[in-house]
Amino acid sequence: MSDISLLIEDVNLSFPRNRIGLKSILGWLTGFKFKSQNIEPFHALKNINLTISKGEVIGIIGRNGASKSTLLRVMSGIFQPDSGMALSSGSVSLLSNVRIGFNGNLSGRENVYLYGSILGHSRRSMSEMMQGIIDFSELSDFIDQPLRTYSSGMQARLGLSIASAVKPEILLIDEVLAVGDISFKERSRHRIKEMVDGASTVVIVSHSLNYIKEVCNRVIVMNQGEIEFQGPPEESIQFYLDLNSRGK
Amino acid sequence: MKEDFALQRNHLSVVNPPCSIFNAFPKGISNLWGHRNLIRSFAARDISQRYRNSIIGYFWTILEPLLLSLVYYTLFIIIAGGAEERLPLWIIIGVVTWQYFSKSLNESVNCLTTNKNMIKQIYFPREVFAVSKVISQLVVTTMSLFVAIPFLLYLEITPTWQLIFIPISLLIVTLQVLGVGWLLAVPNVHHRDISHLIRFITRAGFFISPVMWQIRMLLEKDGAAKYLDYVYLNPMVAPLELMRSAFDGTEIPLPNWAIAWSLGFAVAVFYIGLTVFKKSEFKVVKRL
Repeated sequence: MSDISLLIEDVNLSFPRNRIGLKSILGWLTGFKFKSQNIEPFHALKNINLTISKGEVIGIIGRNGASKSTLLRVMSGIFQPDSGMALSSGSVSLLSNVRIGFNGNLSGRENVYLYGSILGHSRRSMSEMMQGIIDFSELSDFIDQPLRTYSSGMQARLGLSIASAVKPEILLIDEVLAVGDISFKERSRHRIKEMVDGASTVVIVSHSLNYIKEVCNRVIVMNQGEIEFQGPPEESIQFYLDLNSRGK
Repeated sequence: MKEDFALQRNHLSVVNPPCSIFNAFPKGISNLWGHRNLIRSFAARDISQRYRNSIIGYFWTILEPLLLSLVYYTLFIIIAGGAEERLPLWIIIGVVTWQYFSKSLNESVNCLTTNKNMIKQIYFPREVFAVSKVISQLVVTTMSLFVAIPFLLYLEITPTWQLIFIPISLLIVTLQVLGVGWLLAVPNVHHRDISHLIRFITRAGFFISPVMWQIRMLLEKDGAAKYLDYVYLNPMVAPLELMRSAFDGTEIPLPNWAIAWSLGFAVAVFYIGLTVFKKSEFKVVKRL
Protein backbone atom coordinates (compact mmCIF):
# COMPACT_ATOMS: atom_id res chain seq x y z
CA MET A 1 0.00 0.00 0.00
CA SER A 2 1.46 3.29 -1.06
CA ASP A 3 0.96 6.59 0.68
CA ILE A 4 1.98 8.54 -2.38
CA SER A 5 -0.84 9.44 -4.71
CA LEU A 6 0.95 11.61 -7.25
CA LEU A 7 4.59 11.73 -8.15
CA ILE A 8 6.03 14.21 -10.62
CA GLU A 9 9.61 13.40 -11.55
CA ASP A 10 11.90 15.81 -13.44
CA VAL A 11 9.11 16.91 -15.72
CA ASN A 12 10.00 19.22 -18.58
CA LEU A 13 7.52 20.46 -21.09
CA SER A 14 7.96 22.95 -23.88
CA PHE A 15 5.62 24.25 -26.53
CA PRO A 16 6.93 24.66 -30.05
CA ARG A 17 6.52 28.16 -31.38
CA ASN A 18 7.48 27.66 -34.97
CA ARG A 19 5.11 26.10 -37.42
CA ILE A 20 6.06 23.15 -39.55
CA GLY A 21 5.60 24.80 -42.92
CA LEU A 22 7.07 24.85 -46.38
CA LYS A 23 10.28 26.40 -45.04
CA SER A 24 10.83 23.68 -42.46
CA ILE A 25 10.24 20.99 -45.05
CA LEU A 26 12.65 22.73 -47.44
CA GLY A 27 15.15 23.20 -44.62
CA TRP A 28 14.90 19.55 -43.71
CA LEU A 29 15.49 18.54 -47.31
CA THR A 30 18.36 20.92 -48.08
CA GLY A 31 19.90 21.42 -44.66
CA PHE A 32 19.50 25.20 -45.01
CA LYS A 33 18.37 27.04 -41.90
CA PHE A 34 15.80 29.74 -42.50
CA LYS A 35 15.82 32.69 -40.14
CA SER A 36 12.21 32.24 -39.07
CA GLN A 37 12.85 28.65 -38.10
CA ASN A 38 15.16 29.55 -35.24
CA ILE A 39 12.44 30.45 -32.76
CA GLU A 40 13.14 28.90 -29.37
CA PRO A 41 10.29 26.78 -28.02
CA PHE A 42 8.48 28.08 -24.95
CA HIS A 43 9.61 26.18 -21.86
CA ALA A 44 6.43 25.85 -19.86
CA LEU A 45 7.63 23.45 -17.16
CA LYS A 46 11.24 23.25 -16.05
CA ASN A 47 12.44 20.34 -13.94
CA ILE A 48 9.32 19.95 -11.84
CA ASN A 49 9.63 17.51 -8.95
CA LEU A 50 6.68 16.99 -6.66
CA THR A 51 5.45 14.29 -4.31
CA ILE A 52 1.85 14.41 -3.16
CA SER A 53 0.60 12.03 -0.47
CA LYS A 54 -2.84 10.60 0.02
CA GLY A 55 -5.21 12.83 1.95
CA GLU A 56 -3.40 16.05 1.11
CA VAL A 57 -5.06 19.17 -0.25
CA ILE A 58 -2.50 20.98 -2.35
CA GLY A 59 -2.92 24.54 -3.50
CA ILE A 60 -1.00 25.92 -6.45
CA ILE A 61 -0.65 29.68 -6.72
CA GLY A 62 1.33 31.90 -9.03
CA ARG A 63 0.97 34.71 -11.52
CA ASN A 64 -0.78 34.40 -14.84
CA GLY A 65 1.32 32.37 -17.23
CA ALA A 66 3.25 30.63 -14.45
CA SER A 67 2.20 27.26 -15.98
CA LYS A 68 -0.09 26.26 -13.12
CA SER A 69 -2.78 24.89 -15.43
CA THR A 70 -0.17 23.21 -17.63
CA LEU A 71 1.11 21.33 -14.57
CA LEU A 72 -2.44 20.12 -13.82
CA ARG A 73 -2.74 18.99 -17.43
CA VAL A 74 0.45 16.97 -17.14
CA MET A 75 -0.95 15.39 -13.97
CA SER A 76 -4.20 14.48 -15.70
CA GLY A 77 -2.50 13.07 -18.79
CA ILE A 78 -3.57 15.68 -21.34
CA PHE A 79 0.05 16.60 -22.03
CA GLN A 80 2.81 14.03 -22.06
CA PRO A 81 6.01 15.54 -20.63
CA ASP A 82 8.99 15.91 -22.97
CA SER A 83 11.16 14.30 -20.34
CA GLY A 84 10.48 12.94 -16.87
CA MET A 85 7.18 11.40 -15.92
CA ALA A 86 3.99 11.75 -13.97
CA LEU A 87 2.92 8.76 -11.87
CA SER A 88 -0.32 8.29 -9.99
CA SER A 89 -1.87 5.73 -7.69
CA GLY A 90 -5.29 5.75 -9.31
CA SER A 91 -7.89 7.61 -11.33
CA VAL A 92 -7.18 11.27 -11.94
CA SER A 93 -9.98 13.63 -12.84
CA LEU A 94 -9.54 17.24 -13.88
CA LEU A 95 -12.24 19.83 -13.42
CA SER A 96 -11.36 22.87 -15.45
CA ASN A 97 -13.33 25.57 -17.19
CA VAL A 98 -16.59 23.76 -16.49
CA ARG A 99 -18.21 24.98 -19.65
CA ILE A 100 -16.11 22.62 -21.75
CA GLY A 101 -17.27 19.04 -21.89
CA PHE A 102 -20.69 20.33 -21.09
CA ASN A 103 -23.11 20.83 -23.89
CA GLY A 104 -25.29 23.94 -23.86
CA ASN A 105 -28.22 22.49 -25.73
CA LEU A 106 -28.62 19.42 -23.55
CA SER A 107 -30.38 19.56 -20.21
CA GLY A 108 -28.46 19.53 -16.96
CA ARG A 109 -29.48 15.92 -16.41
CA GLU A 110 -28.26 14.83 -19.86
CA ASN A 111 -25.01 16.65 -19.19
CA VAL A 112 -24.54 14.64 -16.01
CA TYR A 113 -24.71 11.48 -18.10
CA LEU A 114 -22.41 12.93 -20.76
CA TYR A 115 -19.84 14.18 -18.28
CA GLY A 116 -20.08 10.91 -16.38
CA SER A 117 -19.35 8.94 -19.51
CA ILE A 118 -16.34 11.16 -20.24
CA LEU A 119 -15.08 10.23 -16.77
CA GLY A 120 -15.69 6.58 -17.63
CA HIS A 121 -18.95 5.83 -15.81
CA SER A 122 -21.93 4.01 -17.23
CA ARG A 123 -25.40 5.49 -17.50
CA ARG A 124 -26.64 3.19 -14.77
CA SER A 125 -24.03 4.18 -12.23
CA MET A 126 -24.68 7.86 -13.05
CA SER A 127 -28.41 7.30 -12.50
CA GLU A 128 -27.64 5.99 -9.04
CA MET A 129 -25.60 9.09 -8.26
CA MET A 130 -28.07 11.48 -9.90
CA GLN A 131 -30.07 12.43 -6.82
CA GLY A 132 -26.94 13.12 -4.80
CA ILE A 133 -25.56 15.29 -7.59
CA ILE A 134 -28.78 17.28 -7.89
CA ASP A 135 -29.02 17.76 -4.14
CA PHE A 136 -25.43 18.89 -3.73
CA SER A 137 -25.61 21.32 -6.63
CA GLU A 138 -29.03 22.62 -5.44
CA LEU A 139 -30.23 22.67 -9.03
CA SER A 140 -33.39 20.56 -8.70
CA ASP A 141 -35.53 23.29 -10.29
CA PHE A 142 -33.21 23.65 -13.25
CA ILE A 143 -31.86 20.16 -13.87
CA ASP A 144 -34.13 19.53 -16.86
CA GLN A 145 -33.50 22.93 -18.44
CA PRO A 146 -30.90 23.35 -21.21
CA LEU A 147 -27.48 24.09 -19.80
CA ARG A 148 -27.13 27.30 -21.80
CA THR A 149 -29.71 28.89 -19.50
CA TYR A 150 -27.48 28.29 -16.46
CA SER A 151 -25.30 31.00 -14.97
CA SER A 152 -21.57 30.33 -14.75
CA GLY A 153 -21.86 29.75 -11.01
CA MET A 154 -24.59 27.17 -11.55
CA GLN A 155 -22.43 25.39 -14.11
CA ALA A 156 -19.53 25.34 -11.67
CA ARG A 157 -21.83 23.88 -9.02
CA LEU A 158 -22.94 21.12 -11.36
CA GLY A 159 -19.34 20.46 -12.45
CA LEU A 160 -17.99 20.05 -8.93
CA SER A 161 -21.01 17.96 -7.93
CA ILE A 162 -20.36 15.45 -10.69
CA ALA A 163 -16.56 15.43 -10.42
CA SER A 164 -16.70 14.79 -6.69
CA ALA A 165 -19.63 12.35 -6.83
CA VAL A 166 -17.71 9.90 -9.00
CA LYS A 167 -15.06 9.73 -6.25
CA PRO A 168 -11.80 9.96 -8.19
CA GLU A 169 -8.69 9.16 -6.20
CA ILE A 170 -7.13 12.41 -7.32
CA LEU A 171 -9.24 15.44 -8.11
CA LEU A 172 -7.62 18.39 -9.84
CA ILE A 173 -9.56 21.65 -9.73
CA ASP A 174 -8.52 24.47 -12.02
CA GLU A 175 -9.93 27.84 -10.94
CA VAL A 176 -13.54 26.70 -10.93
CA LEU A 177 -14.72 27.42 -7.41
CA ALA A 178 -14.12 31.14 -7.64
CA VAL A 179 -17.44 31.73 -9.40
CA GLY A 180 -19.53 30.03 -6.70
CA ASP A 181 -21.44 32.03 -4.08
CA ILE A 182 -20.61 31.98 -0.36
CA SER A 183 -22.88 29.09 0.51
CA PHE A 184 -21.50 26.98 -2.32
CA LYS A 185 -17.94 27.75 -1.33
CA GLU A 186 -18.81 26.56 2.15
CA ARG A 187 -20.31 23.33 0.85
CA SER A 188 -17.45 22.75 -1.58
CA ARG A 189 -15.04 23.06 1.33
CA HIS A 190 -17.00 20.36 3.17
CA ARG A 191 -17.05 18.17 0.10
CA ILE A 192 -13.29 18.49 -0.37
CA LYS A 193 -12.77 17.62 3.30
CA GLU A 194 -14.97 14.54 2.89
CA MET A 195 -12.95 13.45 -0.11
CA VAL A 196 -9.66 13.94 1.66
CA ASP A 197 -10.92 12.02 4.68
CA GLY A 198 -11.79 9.19 2.30
CA ALA A 199 -8.09 9.08 1.28
CA SER A 200 -8.56 11.07 -1.90
CA THR A 201 -6.16 13.78 -2.91
CA VAL A 202 -7.17 17.22 -4.12
CA VAL A 203 -5.06 19.73 -6.03
CA ILE A 204 -6.49 23.22 -6.44
CA VAL A 205 -5.23 25.99 -8.68
CA SER A 206 -6.69 29.30 -7.61
CA HIS A 207 -6.09 33.01 -7.37
CA SER A 208 -8.32 33.37 -4.35
CA LEU A 209 -5.68 33.26 -1.63
CA ASN A 210 -8.16 33.22 1.24
CA TYR A 211 -9.81 30.11 -0.07
CA ILE A 212 -6.44 28.44 -0.56
CA LYS A 213 -5.42 29.38 2.97
CA GLU A 214 -8.58 27.86 4.43
CA VAL A 215 -8.69 24.64 2.45
CA CYS A 216 -5.16 23.53 1.65
CA ASN A 217 -2.56 21.98 3.90
CA ARG A 218 0.35 22.59 1.53
CA VAL A 219 0.73 25.35 -1.01
CA ILE A 220 3.06 25.49 -3.98
CA VAL A 221 4.19 28.77 -5.50
CA MET A 222 4.98 28.61 -9.20
CA ASN A 223 6.80 31.21 -11.19
CA GLN A 224 7.84 31.05 -14.84
CA GLY A 225 7.46 27.30 -15.07
CA GLU A 226 9.33 26.45 -11.89
CA ILE A 227 8.34 25.60 -8.34
CA GLU A 228 9.78 28.50 -6.35
CA PHE A 229 8.50 27.56 -2.93
CA GLN A 230 6.37 25.00 -1.16
CA GLY A 231 5.24 24.82 2.42
CA PRO A 232 2.40 25.58 4.80
CA PRO A 233 -0.26 27.93 3.37
CA GLU A 234 0.67 31.04 5.39
CA GLU A 235 4.35 30.87 4.51
CA SER A 236 3.70 30.15 0.85
CA ILE A 237 1.20 32.95 0.50
CA GLN A 238 3.62 35.33 2.19
CA PHE A 239 6.34 34.20 -0.21
CA TYR A 240 4.00 34.77 -3.15
CA LEU A 241 3.07 38.26 -1.94
CA ASP A 242 6.75 39.13 -1.48
CA LEU A 243 7.49 37.78 -4.93
CA ASN A 244 4.82 40.04 -6.35
CA SER A 245 5.98 43.12 -4.51
CA ARG A 246 9.48 42.52 -5.85
CA GLY A 247 7.78 42.65 -9.23
CA LYS A 248 9.27 39.39 -10.42
CA MET B 1 13.76 5.74 3.94
CA LYS B 2 15.06 5.57 0.40
CA GLU B 3 14.05 1.93 0.03
CA ASP B 4 10.65 2.76 1.41
CA PHE B 5 10.22 5.42 -1.26
CA ALA B 6 11.30 3.04 -4.03
CA LEU B 7 8.82 0.47 -2.76
CA GLN B 8 6.01 3.00 -2.79
CA ARG B 9 6.99 4.20 -6.22
CA ASN B 10 6.50 0.69 -7.57
CA HIS B 11 2.83 0.89 -6.67
CA LEU B 12 2.29 3.90 -8.89
CA SER B 13 1.53 3.78 -12.57
CA VAL B 14 2.53 6.28 -15.21
CA VAL B 15 -0.29 8.63 -16.23
CA ASN B 16 -1.10 7.77 -19.85
CA PRO B 17 2.20 6.14 -20.77
CA PRO B 18 3.34 6.43 -24.38
CA CYS B 19 2.72 3.28 -26.38
CA SER B 20 5.13 1.39 -28.59
CA ILE B 21 4.47 0.80 -32.24
CA PHE B 22 3.30 -2.74 -31.51
CA ASN B 23 0.94 -2.15 -28.63
CA ALA B 24 -0.56 1.03 -30.14
CA PHE B 25 -3.25 -0.82 -32.07
CA PRO B 26 -4.41 -3.23 -29.31
CA LYS B 27 -4.35 -0.35 -26.85
CA GLY B 28 -6.47 1.79 -29.16
CA ILE B 29 -9.00 -1.00 -29.59
CA SER B 30 -9.22 -1.70 -25.87
CA ASN B 31 -9.61 2.04 -25.20
CA LEU B 32 -12.51 2.16 -27.63
CA TRP B 33 -14.16 -0.85 -26.01
CA GLY B 34 -13.62 0.60 -22.54
CA HIS B 35 -15.21 3.88 -23.58
CA ARG B 36 -18.16 2.44 -25.49
CA ASN B 37 -20.56 4.34 -23.22
CA LEU B 38 -18.86 7.58 -24.13
CA ILE B 39 -18.96 6.74 -27.83
CA ARG B 40 -22.66 6.01 -27.54
CA SER B 41 -23.43 9.30 -25.79
CA PHE B 42 -21.31 11.32 -28.23
CA ALA B 43 -22.99 9.68 -31.21
CA ALA B 44 -26.48 10.13 -29.74
CA ARG B 45 -25.73 13.76 -28.97
CA ASP B 46 -24.44 14.27 -32.49
CA ILE B 47 -27.55 12.83 -34.12
CA SER B 48 -30.02 14.64 -31.89
CA GLN B 49 -28.21 17.94 -32.46
CA ARG B 50 -28.16 17.57 -36.20
CA TYR B 51 -31.93 17.54 -36.49
CA ARG B 52 -32.70 19.86 -33.59
CA ASN B 53 -35.07 22.77 -34.29
CA SER B 54 -36.19 21.38 -37.63
CA ILE B 55 -39.83 20.76 -38.44
CA ILE B 56 -39.48 17.44 -40.23
CA GLY B 57 -36.53 16.29 -38.10
CA TYR B 58 -35.27 12.81 -38.88
CA PHE B 59 -37.23 12.77 -42.15
CA TRP B 60 -34.30 14.81 -43.52
CA THR B 61 -32.17 11.65 -43.47
CA ILE B 62 -34.41 10.32 -46.24
CA LEU B 63 -35.35 13.56 -47.95
CA GLU B 64 -31.78 14.78 -48.51
CA PRO B 65 -30.53 11.77 -50.51
CA LEU B 66 -33.89 11.60 -52.28
CA LEU B 67 -33.69 15.18 -53.53
CA LEU B 68 -30.02 14.85 -54.44
CA SER B 69 -30.73 11.69 -56.41
CA LEU B 70 -33.57 13.40 -58.20
CA VAL B 71 -31.18 16.10 -59.38
CA TYR B 72 -28.57 13.56 -60.52
CA TYR B 73 -31.21 11.42 -62.21
CA THR B 74 -32.58 14.37 -64.15
CA LEU B 75 -29.07 15.36 -65.13
CA PHE B 76 -28.34 11.82 -66.27
CA ILE B 77 -31.52 11.64 -68.37
CA ILE B 78 -30.68 14.96 -70.02
CA ILE B 79 -27.12 13.87 -70.85
CA ALA B 80 -27.68 10.22 -71.72
CA GLY B 81 -31.09 10.49 -73.32
CA GLY B 82 -32.92 7.52 -71.87
CA ALA B 83 -32.18 5.29 -68.94
CA GLU B 84 -32.94 1.89 -67.50
CA GLU B 85 -35.91 1.46 -65.23
CA ARG B 86 -33.73 0.63 -62.23
CA LEU B 87 -31.44 3.64 -62.59
CA PRO B 88 -33.20 5.76 -59.90
CA LEU B 89 -32.71 2.92 -57.39
CA TRP B 90 -29.04 2.55 -58.32
CA ILE B 91 -28.40 6.25 -58.07
CA ILE B 92 -30.08 6.63 -54.72
CA ILE B 93 -28.19 3.70 -53.20
CA GLY B 94 -24.95 5.07 -54.64
CA VAL B 95 -25.64 8.54 -53.27
CA VAL B 96 -26.45 7.28 -49.76
CA THR B 97 -23.32 5.10 -49.65
CA TRP B 98 -21.13 7.87 -51.03
CA GLN B 99 -22.52 10.42 -48.57
CA TYR B 100 -21.63 8.09 -45.72
CA PHE B 101 -18.09 7.82 -47.05
CA SER B 102 -17.58 11.49 -47.76
CA LYS B 103 -19.20 12.98 -44.65
CA SER B 104 -17.60 10.60 -42.19
CA LEU B 105 -14.19 10.91 -43.84
CA ASN B 106 -14.29 14.70 -43.64
CA GLU B 107 -15.43 14.58 -40.03
CA SER B 108 -12.85 12.07 -38.92
CA VAL B 109 -9.98 13.95 -40.59
CA ASN B 110 -11.06 17.02 -38.63
CA CYS B 111 -11.70 15.15 -35.37
CA LEU B 112 -8.79 16.75 -33.50
CA THR B 113 -9.21 20.30 -34.77
CA THR B 114 -12.97 20.53 -34.14
CA ASN B 115 -12.67 19.14 -30.61
CA LYS B 116 -9.59 21.06 -29.57
CA ASN B 117 -11.27 22.78 -26.63
CA MET B 118 -12.36 19.52 -25.13
CA ILE B 119 -9.02 17.85 -25.81
CA LYS B 120 -7.17 20.55 -23.91
CA GLN B 121 -9.52 20.46 -20.91
CA ILE B 122 -10.06 16.82 -20.12
CA TYR B 123 -8.32 13.58 -20.92
CA PHE B 124 -9.93 10.57 -22.47
CA PRO B 125 -8.71 8.51 -25.43
CA ARG B 126 -8.90 10.78 -28.46
CA GLU B 127 -9.63 7.97 -30.89
CA VAL B 128 -13.17 8.18 -29.48
CA PHE B 129 -13.94 11.37 -31.45
CA ALA B 130 -13.57 9.88 -34.92
CA VAL B 131 -15.38 6.69 -33.99
CA SER B 132 -18.38 8.48 -32.48
CA LYS B 133 -18.68 10.75 -35.53
CA VAL B 134 -18.50 7.81 -37.90
CA ILE B 135 -21.03 5.82 -35.88
CA SER B 136 -23.48 8.71 -35.89
CA GLN B 137 -23.09 8.90 -39.67
CA LEU B 138 -23.58 5.15 -39.85
CA VAL B 139 -26.89 5.41 -37.99
CA VAL B 140 -28.05 8.21 -40.29
CA THR B 141 -26.99 6.16 -43.34
CA THR B 142 -28.90 3.13 -42.12
CA MET B 143 -32.01 5.29 -41.73
CA SER B 144 -31.44 6.75 -45.19
CA LEU B 145 -31.25 3.30 -46.76
CA PHE B 146 -34.94 2.80 -45.98
CA VAL B 147 -35.59 5.19 -48.85
CA ALA B 148 -34.90 2.21 -51.14
CA ILE B 149 -38.01 0.33 -49.95
CA PRO B 150 -40.62 2.20 -52.03
CA PHE B 151 -38.38 1.78 -55.10
CA LEU B 152 -38.07 -1.95 -54.45
CA LEU B 153 -41.85 -2.22 -54.15
CA TYR B 154 -42.44 -0.20 -57.31
CA LEU B 155 -39.88 -2.20 -59.31
CA GLU B 156 -41.23 -5.46 -57.81
CA ILE B 157 -37.80 -6.59 -56.66
CA THR B 158 -37.79 -9.26 -53.97
CA PRO B 159 -34.78 -9.11 -51.67
CA THR B 160 -32.45 -12.11 -51.79
CA TRP B 161 -29.77 -13.54 -49.50
CA GLN B 162 -27.51 -10.93 -51.04
CA LEU B 163 -28.83 -8.44 -48.46
CA ILE B 164 -25.86 -9.72 -46.44
CA PHE B 165 -23.71 -7.48 -48.68
CA ILE B 166 -25.16 -4.37 -46.98
CA PRO B 167 -23.28 -4.83 -43.68
CA ILE B 168 -20.17 -5.99 -45.57
CA SER B 169 -20.20 -2.87 -47.71
CA LEU B 170 -20.78 -0.62 -44.71
CA LEU B 171 -17.96 -2.37 -42.82
CA ILE B 172 -15.50 -1.78 -45.65
CA VAL B 173 -16.41 1.92 -45.81
CA THR B 174 -16.26 2.27 -42.02
CA LEU B 175 -12.78 0.75 -41.74
CA GLN B 176 -11.57 2.91 -44.64
CA VAL B 177 -12.83 6.22 -43.30
CA LEU B 178 -11.61 5.53 -39.77
CA GLY B 179 -8.18 4.43 -40.97
CA VAL B 180 -7.67 7.32 -43.38
CA GLY B 181 -9.23 9.72 -40.87
CA TRP B 182 -6.86 8.73 -38.06
CA LEU B 183 -3.92 8.72 -40.41
CA LEU B 184 -4.57 12.29 -41.54
CA ALA B 185 -6.05 13.80 -38.36
CA VAL B 186 -2.61 14.48 -36.86
CA PRO B 187 -0.98 16.08 -39.94
CA ASN B 188 -4.21 18.04 -40.36
CA VAL B 189 -3.45 19.82 -37.07
CA HIS B 190 -0.15 21.04 -38.54
CA HIS B 191 -1.60 21.89 -41.92
CA ARG B 192 -5.26 22.45 -42.60
CA ASP B 193 -4.38 21.93 -46.26
CA ILE B 194 -5.11 18.27 -45.59
CA SER B 195 -8.77 18.88 -44.80
CA HIS B 196 -9.17 21.08 -47.89
CA LEU B 197 -7.54 18.37 -49.97
CA ILE B 198 -9.81 15.67 -48.54
CA ARG B 199 -12.86 17.83 -49.24
CA PHE B 200 -11.72 18.12 -52.84
CA ILE B 201 -11.00 14.40 -53.12
CA THR B 202 -14.42 13.43 -51.78
CA ARG B 203 -16.07 15.81 -54.27
CA ALA B 204 -14.03 14.69 -57.26
CA GLY B 205 -14.24 11.08 -56.15
CA PHE B 206 -17.99 11.29 -56.50
CA PHE B 207 -17.59 11.46 -60.27
CA ILE B 208 -14.79 8.94 -60.73
CA SER B 209 -16.49 6.37 -58.50
CA PRO B 210 -19.57 4.46 -59.66
CA VAL B 211 -22.13 6.63 -57.83
CA MET B 212 -24.12 8.09 -60.72
CA TRP B 213 -22.92 5.38 -63.08
CA GLN B 214 -22.22 1.68 -62.70
CA ILE B 215 -19.38 -0.67 -63.56
CA ARG B 216 -21.90 -2.46 -65.79
CA MET B 217 -22.03 0.57 -68.07
CA LEU B 218 -18.24 0.42 -68.49
CA LEU B 219 -18.36 -3.30 -69.21
CA GLU B 220 -20.88 -2.74 -71.99
CA LYS B 221 -18.94 0.12 -73.53
CA ASP B 222 -16.43 -0.67 -76.26
CA GLY B 223 -12.85 0.31 -75.53
CA ALA B 224 -13.45 0.93 -71.84
CA ALA B 225 -12.33 -2.52 -70.73
CA LYS B 226 -8.64 -1.64 -70.76
CA TYR B 227 -9.20 1.01 -68.10
CA LEU B 228 -11.16 -1.33 -65.84
CA ASP B 229 -8.16 -2.55 -63.86
CA TYR B 230 -7.39 1.04 -62.89
CA VAL B 231 -11.00 1.71 -61.98
CA TYR B 232 -10.97 -1.29 -59.63
CA LEU B 233 -8.00 0.20 -57.77
CA ASN B 234 -10.40 2.77 -56.34
CA PRO B 235 -11.23 1.16 -52.98
CA MET B 236 -14.73 2.65 -53.00
CA VAL B 237 -15.78 0.74 -56.15
CA ALA B 238 -16.38 -2.53 -54.32
CA PRO B 239 -18.57 -1.16 -51.49
CA LEU B 240 -20.70 0.81 -53.95
CA GLU B 241 -21.28 -2.16 -56.25
CA LEU B 242 -21.79 -4.54 -53.32
CA MET B 243 -24.49 -2.26 -51.98
CA ARG B 244 -26.33 -2.19 -55.32
CA SER B 245 -26.19 -5.95 -55.73
CA ALA B 246 -27.43 -6.34 -52.18
CA PHE B 247 -30.62 -4.46 -52.98
CA ASP B 248 -31.51 -5.60 -56.47
CA GLY B 249 -30.16 -9.17 -56.20
CA THR B 250 -28.06 -9.02 -59.37
CA GLU B 251 -24.63 -10.55 -59.69
CA ILE B 252 -21.69 -8.44 -58.51
CA PRO B 253 -20.03 -7.09 -61.67
CA LEU B 254 -16.55 -7.20 -60.14
CA PRO B 255 -13.70 -9.71 -60.23
CA ASN B 256 -12.97 -11.28 -56.84
CA TRP B 257 -9.59 -9.62 -56.59
CA ALA B 258 -11.21 -6.17 -56.72
CA ILE B 259 -13.35 -7.00 -53.69
CA ALA B 260 -10.39 -8.57 -51.88
CA TRP B 261 -8.29 -5.49 -52.66
CA SER B 262 -10.92 -3.16 -51.23
CA LEU B 263 -11.35 -5.24 -48.07
CA GLY B 264 -7.59 -5.67 -47.68
CA PHE B 265 -7.03 -1.95 -48.14
CA ALA B 266 -9.68 -1.20 -45.53
CA VAL B 267 -8.18 -3.55 -42.93
CA ALA B 268 -4.61 -2.38 -43.60
CA VAL B 269 -5.42 1.33 -43.48
CA PHE B 270 -7.47 0.79 -40.30
CA TYR B 271 -4.52 -0.87 -38.60
CA ILE B 272 -1.94 1.63 -39.82
CA GLY B 273 -4.21 4.61 -39.15
CA LEU B 274 -4.88 3.71 -35.53
CA THR B 275 -1.21 2.88 -34.90
CA VAL B 276 0.01 6.19 -36.34
CA PHE B 277 -2.70 8.11 -34.49
CA LYS B 278 -1.86 6.55 -31.12
CA LYS B 279 1.85 7.15 -31.66
CA SER B 280 1.58 10.80 -32.62
CA GLU B 281 -1.53 12.25 -30.91
CA PHE B 282 0.33 13.41 -27.81
CA LYS B 283 2.87 15.44 -29.74
CA VAL B 284 0.16 17.23 -31.58
CA VAL B 285 -1.92 18.25 -28.55
CA LYS B 286 0.64 20.96 -27.83
CA ARG B 287 -0.04 22.51 -31.21
CA LEU B 288 -3.81 22.62 -30.89
